Amino acid sequence: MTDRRILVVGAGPAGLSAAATLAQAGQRVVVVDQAPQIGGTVYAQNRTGDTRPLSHAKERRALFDVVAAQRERIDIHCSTSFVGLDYQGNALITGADGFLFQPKAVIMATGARELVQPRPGWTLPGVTSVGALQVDLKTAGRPPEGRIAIAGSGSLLYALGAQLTRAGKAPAVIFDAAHPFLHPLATARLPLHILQEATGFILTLIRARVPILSGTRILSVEEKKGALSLKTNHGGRFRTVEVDRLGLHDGLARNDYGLQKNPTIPVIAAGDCRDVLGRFAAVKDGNRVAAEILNLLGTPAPGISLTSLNTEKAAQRRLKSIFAHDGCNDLNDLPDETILCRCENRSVADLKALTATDQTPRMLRLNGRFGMGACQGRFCLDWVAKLTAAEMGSGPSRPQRWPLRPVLIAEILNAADHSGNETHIEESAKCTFR
Amino acid sequence: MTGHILWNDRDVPYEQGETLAQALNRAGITHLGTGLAGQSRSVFCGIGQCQNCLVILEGKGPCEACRVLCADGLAVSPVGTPHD
Amino acid sequence: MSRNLQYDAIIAGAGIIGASIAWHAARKGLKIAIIDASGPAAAASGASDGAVSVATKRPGVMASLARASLSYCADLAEQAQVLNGVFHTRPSYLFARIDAEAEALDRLTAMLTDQGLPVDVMRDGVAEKSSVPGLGESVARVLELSGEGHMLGYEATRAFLEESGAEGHWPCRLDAFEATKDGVILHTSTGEMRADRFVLATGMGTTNLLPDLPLMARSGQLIITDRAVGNDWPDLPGPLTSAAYLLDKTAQALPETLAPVVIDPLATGQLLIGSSREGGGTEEQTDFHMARRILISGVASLPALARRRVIRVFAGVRTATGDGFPIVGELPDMPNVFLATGFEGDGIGLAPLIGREVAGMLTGEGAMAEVNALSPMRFTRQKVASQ
Repeated sequence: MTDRRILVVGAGPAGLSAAATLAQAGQRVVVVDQAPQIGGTVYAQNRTGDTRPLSHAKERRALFDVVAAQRERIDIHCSTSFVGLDYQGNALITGADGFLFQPKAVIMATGARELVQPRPGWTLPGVTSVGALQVDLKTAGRPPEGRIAIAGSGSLLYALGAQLTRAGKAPAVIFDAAHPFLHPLATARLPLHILQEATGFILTLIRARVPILSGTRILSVEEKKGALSLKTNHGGRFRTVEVDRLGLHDGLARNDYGLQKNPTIPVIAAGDCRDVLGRFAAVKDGNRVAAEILNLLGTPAPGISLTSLNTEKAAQRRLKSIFAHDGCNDLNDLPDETILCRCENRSVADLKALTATDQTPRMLRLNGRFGMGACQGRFCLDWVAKLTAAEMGSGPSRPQRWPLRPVLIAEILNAADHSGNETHIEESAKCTFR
Repeated sequence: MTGHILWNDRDVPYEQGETLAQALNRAGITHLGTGLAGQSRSVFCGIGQCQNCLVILEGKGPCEACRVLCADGLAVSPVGTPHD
Repeated sequence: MSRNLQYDAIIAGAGIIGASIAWHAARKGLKIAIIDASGPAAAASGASDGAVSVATKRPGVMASLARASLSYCADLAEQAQVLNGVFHTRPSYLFARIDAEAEALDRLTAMLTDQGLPVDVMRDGVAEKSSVPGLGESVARVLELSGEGHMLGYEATRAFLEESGAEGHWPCRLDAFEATKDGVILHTSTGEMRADRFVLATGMGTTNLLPDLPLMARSGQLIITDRAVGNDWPDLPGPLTSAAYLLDKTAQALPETLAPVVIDPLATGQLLIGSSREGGGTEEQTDFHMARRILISGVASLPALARRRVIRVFAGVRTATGDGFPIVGELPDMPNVFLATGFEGDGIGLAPLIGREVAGMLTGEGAMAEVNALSPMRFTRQKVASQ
């Protein structure tokens, strides 16, 4: 029996705007998010009681207000995980108050996947993704100790650099594999709101005299006397830099892991989860996908103008060309001992040792163990696919089944079963609107 | 509100709203255990995806240190090494 | 491609059965090609536990085949070396919670003694005295066996294929075949191939070509945990199987907390937890309710299981037959076309033996009586489509 409600996974800009649109159309919505608060990573807030102003406070307020106006129809469960759908269309939610139910549709709004290329030493403590440093800064309200280097490519390097600087901790250096400042024409044609934000970031970094080294790659990271020693390459000139923390970021990708193949109920991705267009587009995309779901369910849907979505799409294309480069690392040049898959400890050498029998999408997983670890391949499959493209065309297959993330057996069993009847799930939202 | 978590029987203070990883990190603990090849387990992705910061919550099982909020008296230890 | 696509035998299906036939036939000097629509171990061989078990087989032909294959596995590991490092013997544990399960253990013990199987009862008694630590209160009795084996389907498939020297063709979909008195012509997605003899070891895929065969899919939910464990994890020396699993093969309904369960420790430190028997199904057909039944039973048997994490769930799809026996042998009205399918979850354990026997059929040497009993001839009135 189908629950009367629609499940929205992710309480970031796309998920919340989708939920609000559905609720405005009279639908009942369940929103789940793994974080203790709504807002997603972009609107993550300080959880430690610090009262300094948040970044994007105004946008966040506006989004939360739209959702708050529909509170009666939106049931929000924070600190919960969406484990996945089974083939009969049941959804399993685990966490603080887990439950199993059958939604009539699902909107996936779990945000983008952050890409980090493997490099020698990328597994050392102190080396994190740029996204990790950013979430940490936002939720702890204070920057980490020690000297910080930011490296890789993409606009997030500058966003984090500026946010750290504004929090009183300018990064020691930013290494950008691309040459974003050599594209004044493309930059000038960016929409005003993006240009303003970018200019703000750059001015903050310039005022704090943060060295920005474009066209520079990190070749390797080593641990030396409790610090991180980075070997960099700037067009054939090699340098060694010592820092305490390194944030790596090589772009964002859509998030297409773990959903049941041919689900029996409509499942649509929204926002960066579907296509990485940034937070402004995500709000709009949430509206659009909600309307799409309403249409599929045969209920009246609001008309959604796609003009602003198309503007953001064009802007993202321009940003991509501004940050274009020929790889933060040449994957083919990685030393044999470089770890590709942390979970199963598989290196470049292990990949090279595979034989013809192993080079099918299935055997690359089963025998190669690539993509078989606890992260389910999120951090290695992109690179394994590139490295094996010549032999196989496609890399190891991505799982299309639950669980979307590792889940404790106790939590699978503790989830209350609401799938068999019309019983509504207890009003147990634990989030507060502030 | 603040309190303490236990890391291998060592008291580690936290502030309300901090994750296990944030509290441990602030106490200078970045090495959260040992991976398969002897490499350190530590925070990497920060959003519960990469499984690199896995620790054992006493009585509950493995969990991501970057995702779980501190609570007073919570006992946390490194992940055991597989038997093979 | 300027390869000469004429072979002594072509095997369709690069699962463990096809790979074993290829290795055995190649050793007899035959020129072999093996084709598969996707690649090695793409179906049940890559989605199954690796139990090479005698204890869980039905008495009679199946137990007798399992016994022969178990001894032969050891030969292939130690003497022929092809399964060296792939096949291991290990202890295994069957437990009973209710009277019906205890009776199943009694029947099993009797069978093991009567048939002189290479499996020994090391200990049989109350759970508290067993060598498995951390069992749940509901577990009353544990039967400990030595001599049963383990090999992962995909590892064995890989070993047989690599050592066979057979030509592997994948992805290569078989669209149709023609059996003539001069040999067999295959029409595949990559072109025409010819061979003197042809073996279909394509599991459920066989029904696309021979729709009248009494084959049916019977899937089982398989649950894989990650490696991470706390200090309180009781090390499991071998698979822990509820005796309900023996009852399940004769289709008895059991309450939820007693659902058949096997908790199988993998070499990686992960666990494979299985398995139900459901009609139909594809690998994607995973079911929360069925998985929960298995896990409820698992946690009741081994409470520390509640603190392990699941990272993968899939449905292993077994190919079953109408009468519960595999189909192995030459098709009655199609000369030179052989079948080897319908093992319903016993394929991993039986593959070494079946490979050897089918290779014997290909060379005309013939096969042992128990394998001849599996001939498709037994479906006398079946109509086998030629296309």
